[in-house]
Amino acid sequence: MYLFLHRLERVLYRITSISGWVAAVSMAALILLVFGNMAARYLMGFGAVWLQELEWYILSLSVMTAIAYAMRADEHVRVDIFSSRLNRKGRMWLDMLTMTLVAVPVAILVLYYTWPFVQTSYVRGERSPNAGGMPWTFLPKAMILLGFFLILSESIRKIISVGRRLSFHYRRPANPPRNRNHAA
Amino acid sequence: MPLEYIALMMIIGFFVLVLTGMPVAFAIAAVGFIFGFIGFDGWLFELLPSRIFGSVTNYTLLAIPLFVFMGVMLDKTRVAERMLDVIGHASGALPGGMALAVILVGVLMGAATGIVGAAIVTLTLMALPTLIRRGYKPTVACGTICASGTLGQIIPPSLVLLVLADTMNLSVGSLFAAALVPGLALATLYVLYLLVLAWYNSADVPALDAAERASISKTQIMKDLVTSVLPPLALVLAVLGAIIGGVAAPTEAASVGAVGAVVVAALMRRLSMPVLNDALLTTVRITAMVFFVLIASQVFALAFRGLDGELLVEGMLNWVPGGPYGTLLFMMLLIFLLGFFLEWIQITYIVVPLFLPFLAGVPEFSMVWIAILIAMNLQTSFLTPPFGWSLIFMKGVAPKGIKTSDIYRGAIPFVIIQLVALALIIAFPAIALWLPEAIGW
Amino acid sequence: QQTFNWRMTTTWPAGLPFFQTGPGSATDFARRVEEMSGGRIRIRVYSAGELVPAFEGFDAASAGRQVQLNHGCAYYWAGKSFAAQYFTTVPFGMTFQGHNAWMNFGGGYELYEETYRPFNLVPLVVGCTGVQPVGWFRRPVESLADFRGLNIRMPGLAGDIYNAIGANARLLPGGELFAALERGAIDAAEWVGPYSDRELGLHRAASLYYSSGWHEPATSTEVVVNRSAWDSLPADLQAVMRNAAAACNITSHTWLEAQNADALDDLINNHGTQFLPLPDDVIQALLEATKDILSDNARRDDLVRRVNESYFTFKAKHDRWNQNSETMFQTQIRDLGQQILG
Ligand code: NA
Ligand code: NA
Repeated sequence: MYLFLHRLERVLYRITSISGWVAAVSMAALILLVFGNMAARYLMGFGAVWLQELEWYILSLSVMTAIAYAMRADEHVRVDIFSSRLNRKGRMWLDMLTMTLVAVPVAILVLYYTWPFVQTSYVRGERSPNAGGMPWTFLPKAMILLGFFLILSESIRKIISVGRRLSFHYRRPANPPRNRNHAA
Repeated sequence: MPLEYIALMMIIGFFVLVLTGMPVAFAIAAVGFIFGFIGFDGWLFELLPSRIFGSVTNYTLLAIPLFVFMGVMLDKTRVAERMLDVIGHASGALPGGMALAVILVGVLMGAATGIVGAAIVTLTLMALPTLIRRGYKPTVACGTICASGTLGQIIPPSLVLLVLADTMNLSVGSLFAAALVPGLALATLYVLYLLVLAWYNSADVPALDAAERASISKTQIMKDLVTSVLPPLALVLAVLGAIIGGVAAPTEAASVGAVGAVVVAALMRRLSMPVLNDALLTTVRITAMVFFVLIASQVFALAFRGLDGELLVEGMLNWVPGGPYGTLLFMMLLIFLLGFFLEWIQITYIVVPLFLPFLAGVPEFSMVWIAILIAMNLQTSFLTPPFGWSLIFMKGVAPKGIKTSDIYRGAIPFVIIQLVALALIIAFPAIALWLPEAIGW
Repeated sequence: QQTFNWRMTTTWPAGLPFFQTGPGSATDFARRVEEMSGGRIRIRVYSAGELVPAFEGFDAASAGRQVQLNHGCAYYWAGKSFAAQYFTTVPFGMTFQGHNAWMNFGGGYELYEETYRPFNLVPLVVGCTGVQPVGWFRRPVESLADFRGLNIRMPGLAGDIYNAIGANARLLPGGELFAALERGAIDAAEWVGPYSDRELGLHRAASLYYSSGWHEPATSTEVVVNRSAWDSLPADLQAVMRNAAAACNITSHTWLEAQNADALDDLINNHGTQFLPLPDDVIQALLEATKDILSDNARRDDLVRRVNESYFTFKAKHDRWNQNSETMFQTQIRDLGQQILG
């Protein structure tokens, strides 16, 4: 069981790492695309509707893959006036409760509501209302699914990781072994 | 129980949850879902994906990562450090000179980026130890750094103005133009305050001693100015000029800023793969943070609608006397008070849309003016203890000797100055509206 | 008696007179329905973004559990079904009379219903802007060559047609429209017509107003009603809905005609606006591009083919009648009459 959780944690860690990488690469692509679209129009008088719309597609990809990665980096807007007074254990419990009681249910709910939204768009073959625009409107819509799936996966990773540290904390014997450096 | 009361309870629930210290995005989505299910069985949430979709494919908000990247990249070129050094030495003989340098650098960093966190962290790490070593009173030093680092929110380009342009359906360019004079005026008020302080109490803000001044020659200062300050400054001015001058749409200009920042970094020999990688990852994290709160706010906003929250606001406004001006002042007061607990993203996404319908149709109100008032008001929320973001950022990186109370106490004069600035813009709308009108927005 | 409390989203930001607040607009439709039904149908109107973003109301009404109706224009849904384009207006198509004649008695409405059936929606025609001008230009366009590289704010089918003759169709949010035109980030922009464009301040951004709008000769607005919601209405309330829609259609159109007449004089006399026709070679090129794009789409999709055929068959017939009635009146008779009657 412990081994399974350990492996799962590592897999989920990899998933979040990959999503951060995708977010960064697509962010670079986004910057170049917006710049390229502008340059093409000003310098060559060339512009295509689908290339403008592609900007939103990439924005949604970058943003939705970035959130899980930012979660792991703990880049959050939060008010820590009280929580900063908690000790390490207290903060771990806060993380544990936030992830299990809030993050996981929120992610599952958003996935639940988004699934039919994406499915409808896919089944109907929805495309841009602008002629010459992008096909596959379901793709940017599906990014919401991807994003919250990654949030869910990162939340589970955090639960396992905090749980491991907490159980370690409680299992630790009352008199911890003496400092190894000292012994050596 | 009438639905509006559940809406009221939802707001209270939000504050409680936020105070536990859990990430705001999760708190806001959680209360939205919980009270939505209590009040209306959650059926309205089927509209949630379309709202999220609208947020992550928004053309105006597309400029956010571009500006963030530009700011982060310029930060990596360490231009602020050089500027602080150069300007600090240039204004060395003046009591309070180093503090004035901090404000000036704050203005320049503000124009280069809209990211308060980066500016505060940079200024604190570089300037705070120096200021303390030179005998500045800790409260003054902390307050000056916090206030200067926060200037980026009101001085364009700014994420606050971008988001306000989107929520209020205004042009980004006209908001940027309108915010320029108030932003600079605010910086001027800071300068005046420090000069007055230096006049009455120069011991709190001592001048640089002669030996330190002599250590850098005039030519070296000039050389530094040209080589390390001019290129990024030129880029920033070009981007701002393109937007305010209307040569390019804000998102396009932002992309020029982003690519230009890479070029400037290369010119200054600061560009490397790790730097680029780091800048991209930082950009991705900051963007994710902003958008995550925006996405989570959609849950709250839907629940608020479903719970007839607009009736709550309407009832509140009926009770407020003084017609549209009463409504405006009430909103300003509410934003100021909320600023103690929330930061700008939630205030802009949640509070502002509630009041908009009641202000939109008023003929004597310019919406641009109102947007600037909101932006100026949000500016104070960064500095109001205990939850002001700037204060929290500073606390994170301040040297050990600095007490939290130093930071909080130091911020108070600057909060008062910001309120004065806000009052001035309310009394004289021309401060905000003059520039956009003069250049024909 | 059962009462129906419904929500209607719209594609319009709060405060637009023609679409959202004025006579025959979305709120007027809701008010009429409530009055005519004696309060048995209550419709709460939401501006774009209040409940869902501007272009998400269609899907919301299609699902129908939260939102029963959406007020907008059919051509916004061309990405869901290209045929929807025809029920708003067709480039080089028919004006108010012909378009409404086709919709009501030329087979148009039946096709409209058929187009929306897969979406579980019942359409109602609720308004019309009449002929829209080509739009505001910062510099004169004297030949086809002037359109090469011209940046024009033009969504939808017309945007693609402009691209086909060498222009760049740009997508811009409404809030940026004025700024972009005024500052030259775009060279031309179109919105609705003299009255609505003046509200937006476009006359301060450009002075050349090209007309008449080949691209939108009779832009119609619609209310789509969720089919299950519609079926749950008793016959008398369905009649209320249809009659309120018909009343709004004529009310909005005539109200805007009156406003546009005022605004036109004001623009010319007080703001230095110049009204200009497009050069013939440009119109020729636009026509050819339109023909290609419409027939391309008709080839690809059976429904589009039938709608296209129905529309243009009716148009050919109606044009012959129009030529001998309206057209003749509006040229020979009106012009001679003006000389004597003023
Ligand atoms: Na800024
Ligand atoms: Na139009």
